[in-house]
Amino acid sequence: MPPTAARIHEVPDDPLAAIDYCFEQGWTDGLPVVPPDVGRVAAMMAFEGRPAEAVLAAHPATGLECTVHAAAVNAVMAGCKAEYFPVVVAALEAMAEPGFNFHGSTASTGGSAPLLVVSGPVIDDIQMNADVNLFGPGNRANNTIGRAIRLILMNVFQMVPGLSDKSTQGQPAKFSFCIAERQRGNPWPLLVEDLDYPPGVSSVTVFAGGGFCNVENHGGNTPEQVLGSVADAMANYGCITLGQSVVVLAPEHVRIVAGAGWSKAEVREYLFARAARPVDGMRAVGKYRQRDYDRQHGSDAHPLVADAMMHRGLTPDDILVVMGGGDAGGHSCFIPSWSRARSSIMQSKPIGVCIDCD
Amino acid sequence: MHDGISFEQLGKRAIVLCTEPFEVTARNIARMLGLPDYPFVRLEHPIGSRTAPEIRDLATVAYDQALPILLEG
Repeated sequence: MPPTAARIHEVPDDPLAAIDYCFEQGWTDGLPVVPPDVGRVAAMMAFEGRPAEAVLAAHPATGLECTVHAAAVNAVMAGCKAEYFPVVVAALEAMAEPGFNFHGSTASTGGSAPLLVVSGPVIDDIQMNADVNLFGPGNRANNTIGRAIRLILMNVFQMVPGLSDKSTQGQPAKFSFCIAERQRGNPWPLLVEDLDYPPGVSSVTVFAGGGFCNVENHGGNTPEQVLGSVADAMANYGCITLGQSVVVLAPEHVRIVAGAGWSKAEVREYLFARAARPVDGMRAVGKYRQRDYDRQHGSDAHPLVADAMMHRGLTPDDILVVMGGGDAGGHSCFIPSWSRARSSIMQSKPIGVCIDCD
Repeated sequence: MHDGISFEQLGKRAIVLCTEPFEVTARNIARMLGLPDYPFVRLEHPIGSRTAPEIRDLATVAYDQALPILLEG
């Protein structure tokens, strides 16, 4: 069910008037958008092999559908260049996987935002930023790709604040939340390689991110010290749940950890073991739930799960670890999940190619 | 709301419980699914942090609202 049929809107031949028209139609995120000129929309769609009316994603609760055309219109409005469109499409398809639960994660009071983590050669092809000010302003690809996803959620799926988006407080990342994994100086296999996609393919991973927690550690110079501070952030009482985690380690921290010979798998295991709180402490803040404990400590519990402790997530594989950011600074970050449990599971898709498609 | 309406469309009676801040959202989804007047139970918010006795009181309120909805039509 498309929300409305696609149609041409006639506006005065004046860019500012067209921008104002977009505001009047309620098509913006509160900031000006690029008026979706017919030619630009066509150029955007030229980067997608499927026809304009092909459905990329459907809303599980309302049945609203996002077509290639609707996605392209919103990508233009977000300020995307046409060559960014395959990333937008892949992210949208990843969000449409049932496990991501994009209705719940975008409607909920939790106020999560879909974090897009792009990995592989497309980063250089479209000049995404994996370096300094990774999550911040300054790069067109990062910020407009993330913004395109938000505009699609608002304009196509009608996830309108107050009406269908009931975020209690929201967060700045709801404007745009898209990063690239840093390859330069990265001692570990890239995320796209961990996903086992063929060489030359790029990927996007989507994660319903519940916020952003900076992890400052300039004094630690061992893996245990650096990762100990990350684990503590992951286990803070405000954030700890059975949910997944994203950890973006700064190059300065990666040099310490990988320099001591630690693999990403060892990092995940260390973090999982220590991102935990005592059951008594969970009770003290009113967050203990017996069913969560039973799920984590059942017969198939991970060997690192400790008695009388609540860990973050179910296994070390619930922690996505990537490197990103500038050369200088002991600032990594932890992105918590949305929901009290495991209501959204991160999903990945290859970009611009079809692997194991129907 | 989606689940409740799906049950109704399958011919099974269902009842949707909704706290007041979410009423506008519930009505919006009902409208989009083609049943704008779909009746549901409205309860005071919140639920998660209430004590067991408070939950019992709330359940009584929910029952009183739900019964006529379930018995009508």
